[in-house]
Amino acid sequence: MQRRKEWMLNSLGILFVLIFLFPVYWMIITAFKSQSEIFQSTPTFWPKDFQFTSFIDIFKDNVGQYFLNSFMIAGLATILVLVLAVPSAYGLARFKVKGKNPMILLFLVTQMLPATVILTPLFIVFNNLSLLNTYWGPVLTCATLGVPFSVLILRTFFLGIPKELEEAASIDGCGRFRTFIRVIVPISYPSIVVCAAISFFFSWGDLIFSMTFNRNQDLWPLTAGIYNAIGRYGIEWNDLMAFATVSVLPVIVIFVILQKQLVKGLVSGSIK
Amino acid sequence: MKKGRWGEYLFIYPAVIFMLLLIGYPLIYNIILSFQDVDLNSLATGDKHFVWFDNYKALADQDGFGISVWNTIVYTLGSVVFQVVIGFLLALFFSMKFKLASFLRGVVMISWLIPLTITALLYKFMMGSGEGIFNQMLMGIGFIDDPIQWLSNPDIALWSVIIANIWVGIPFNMLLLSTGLSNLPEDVYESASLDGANWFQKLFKITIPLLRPVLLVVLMLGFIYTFKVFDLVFVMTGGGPINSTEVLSTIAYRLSFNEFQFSLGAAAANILFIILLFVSVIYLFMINKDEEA
Amino acid sequence: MKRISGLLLAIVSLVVVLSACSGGTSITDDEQSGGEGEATEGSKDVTIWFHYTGKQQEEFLSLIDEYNESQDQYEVEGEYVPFADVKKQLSVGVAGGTLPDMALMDVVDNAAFAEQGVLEDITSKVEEWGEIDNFYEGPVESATYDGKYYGLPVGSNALGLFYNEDLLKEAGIEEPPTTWDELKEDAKALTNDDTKGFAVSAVKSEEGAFQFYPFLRSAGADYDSLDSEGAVEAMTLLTDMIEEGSMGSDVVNATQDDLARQFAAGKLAMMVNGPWNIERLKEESPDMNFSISQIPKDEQFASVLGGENLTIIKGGNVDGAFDFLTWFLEPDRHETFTYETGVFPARKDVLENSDHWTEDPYLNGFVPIMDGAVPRGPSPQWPEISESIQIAIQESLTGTKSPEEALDKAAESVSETVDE
Repeated sequence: MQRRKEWMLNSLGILFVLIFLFPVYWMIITAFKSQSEIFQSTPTFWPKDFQFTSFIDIFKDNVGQYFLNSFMIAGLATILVLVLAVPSAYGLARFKVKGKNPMILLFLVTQMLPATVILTPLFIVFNNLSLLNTYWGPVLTCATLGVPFSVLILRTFFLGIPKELEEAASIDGCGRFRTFIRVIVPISYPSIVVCAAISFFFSWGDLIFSMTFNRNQDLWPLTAGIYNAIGRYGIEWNDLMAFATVSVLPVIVIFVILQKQLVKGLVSGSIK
Repeated sequence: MKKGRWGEYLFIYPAVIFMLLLIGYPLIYNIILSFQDVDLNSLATGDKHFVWFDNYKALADQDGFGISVWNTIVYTLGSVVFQVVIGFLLALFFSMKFKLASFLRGVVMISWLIPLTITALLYKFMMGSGEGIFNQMLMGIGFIDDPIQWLSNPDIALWSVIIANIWVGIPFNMLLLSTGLSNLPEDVYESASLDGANWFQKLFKITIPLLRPVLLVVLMLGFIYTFKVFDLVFVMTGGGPINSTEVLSTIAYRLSFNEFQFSLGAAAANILFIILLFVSVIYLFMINKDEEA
Repeated sequence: MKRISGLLLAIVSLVVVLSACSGGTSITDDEQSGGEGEATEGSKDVTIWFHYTGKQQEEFLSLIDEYNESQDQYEVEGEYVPFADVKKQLSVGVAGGTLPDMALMDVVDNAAFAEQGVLEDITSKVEEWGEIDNFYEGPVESATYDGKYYGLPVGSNALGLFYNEDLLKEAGIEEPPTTWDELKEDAKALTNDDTKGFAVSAVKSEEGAFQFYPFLRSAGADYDSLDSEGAVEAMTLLTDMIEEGSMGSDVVNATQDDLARQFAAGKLAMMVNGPWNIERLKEESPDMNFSISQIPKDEQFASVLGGENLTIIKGGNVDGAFDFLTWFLEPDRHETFTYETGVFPARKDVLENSDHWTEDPYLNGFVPIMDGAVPRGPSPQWPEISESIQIAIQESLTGTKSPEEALDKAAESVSETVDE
């Protein structure tokens, strides 16, 4: 009985994931097709004639540098987000400080302007601070997405941690900061990892900030490379999908590695 | 105690100050801009004069502005409801302990890892009315006889964009809700099982009430992120056909960077902002009630 | 109640805190206008923003190198800005006071930027130069605003009718259609389960307005007479073709490149498109036989001009920029650059004295078209006018409104825009 249920759940899960990820399959498979095959009246679910030209084309296009840039921007932004957001979320969850509500409101409010309208004012600010054409423009702006998000999410999770844990620690003579580092951070590790991952991907998908603040192409992320590949006069679907595939694969790998860690935390149920 | 207070502020304030510095300026800049009359000319000379509410009046008269507000609301509610429901069901499903659960949960995240520009192009590609794979498959299995005009029928286009957005947003909701689920205390369930509660009773009597804070924050964030959607709509339809998929952020972009009516663009963004502010205040009331209770 | 007042207080204090930050506004503005006014006379550096990609980019950059080596007075540097980002970059550049000395722009945007005071009036320099009469009228017109020059055309294109010779032959059509009636008839004959007879791009962007313009002009109408009989006839033609099924209803989302791809795949027998897609068609379907002719006419053959102008930014290194511009437009150089990159020269003397275009089996189809090609507008309000046209096209082609209703509404909003 138990085995049958296990088998059912597994098949159901696989079936769902296959349907759900069909667009991703279509993206990858299109990258290997020729232009004429893409536009055939009867679609082919497997390329008749496997082509690698699209991949060769895009590797001529400095993908390595783009990748490094994406990684730097997303990585730095994530670190910045964690350093700022984790203590802040904890403080807002635990301490009875004045102006807690306005601060929560502030974190909500600051996410509300569409990216397109903060471009001009931030461009002026970064220009005055000589931050144009550096990693810092996109890093700081991407962090403005991750910080409020992480504060709000982590605050909600910190609220669920029983206060007794910290009380025990402070009886042991730990200061607030040490309690935070020694007790709270380890215990909420999975939630922090989730926020880190999400902040990372917020920044990984950035296009508009990098393109606006950095005209220097050496600093452009992968998304800008894709955008560039579209060019003025059109999209070659196979090239585009090849670029997309190449830019997504490394992230998936990172994610799968992270996922193991993350799931360990999730499954063991760190907070009981 | 005084000293302790300082420590507490050191926890909280760096993030607050960071956000104030980086977003406070754009926020104010935008509000002021929306009350002025600014085009490229006055932007260069600095000769900006105040016209107060004229921009808002002009905006209300703009063809397609009313519909864009409506579209934004439909788009947001449509996306958020389906994302949260499907994401929640998936989180519940994967929280059952079967062998592939964690692996599959991770794999689902892929849809969220694809840069939005690519997703938009991919869906545009798949939703082509003639050779698009969606129609080909639906017609192949006999579900429809004539191709659906996914993106070219003004009555359908908005929902087509919503479908793409739901697909993007499901993993995000699922992941946050999974994390929330894993933090729920197990002993409550154990005692409920002893009392003979069935799955549905446990879901509605225990899981959802306990998950309420997480559900609220997920709903709120989903609402904000969806409300200011730009890339997806811009790339998939550019706001068309006619105005059927025009949303506030695409209008704001077009007014600012296509027509150089920066003040009108700022006014459109501010209306978006005010609606979101209103929703946030409701959220604040709700969590305050919860936390005081 | 206490909570509400607390919240209100919070919002007020938030606004106060934020507006304290906004004290920076005026400071930055001062600095910026100071920066703008800074004299750059005698400066050596000339920065150019350009959106050329691929082959055009290579050629352009190598010409810049050649120019820099040829003299010591100026040092030109090209910076790539993607086409879709040009307007945004110029806008934030104005706000931040970080503009280049020159910018390449689409012909249709030139007047708007001139009106907005971003561009340098180069009329006296152009007159002194004395070469302007060697240029085609249409492209030059696109670079003028209020009777003054705000740039010079550096490459032109236009729209023509691309037709698949094999498909026409199969359907028993010997010559491509030349009139609207023939177009309707032939498109119907060419349509079958697999192939659509004809397509224009009616997407909601500048491309849609661009593609509609030849039909509008052919019927004797223009953007300021959208409610005229001719305009209605033009719109009715396209709407009818959708109703008859000889044009696909998804043209309202199809860009010109989408059309080119469908054409290359043999799913489209005829389309309206430009010379920049010739190379791609040859590459993607080397076996296909296609040709280019005039877009079928109502009253007269008409086409629409596309292309780029190089403009000089106000307050930049004007002398250096103009020096490079005239060097770049010298006949031989202009000939090589335009021919190599598959576009048409903006100079009459270049086209007339060269066989490149007349002997090319594809480009020669465009030679007569270029003669009758007119710029859109030109109007500094073109973006708004264009949007009204785009919406009218989409309303009519999706059957939401009749051609008359759609165009009446567009005519009204255009006249409001122009009167402003």
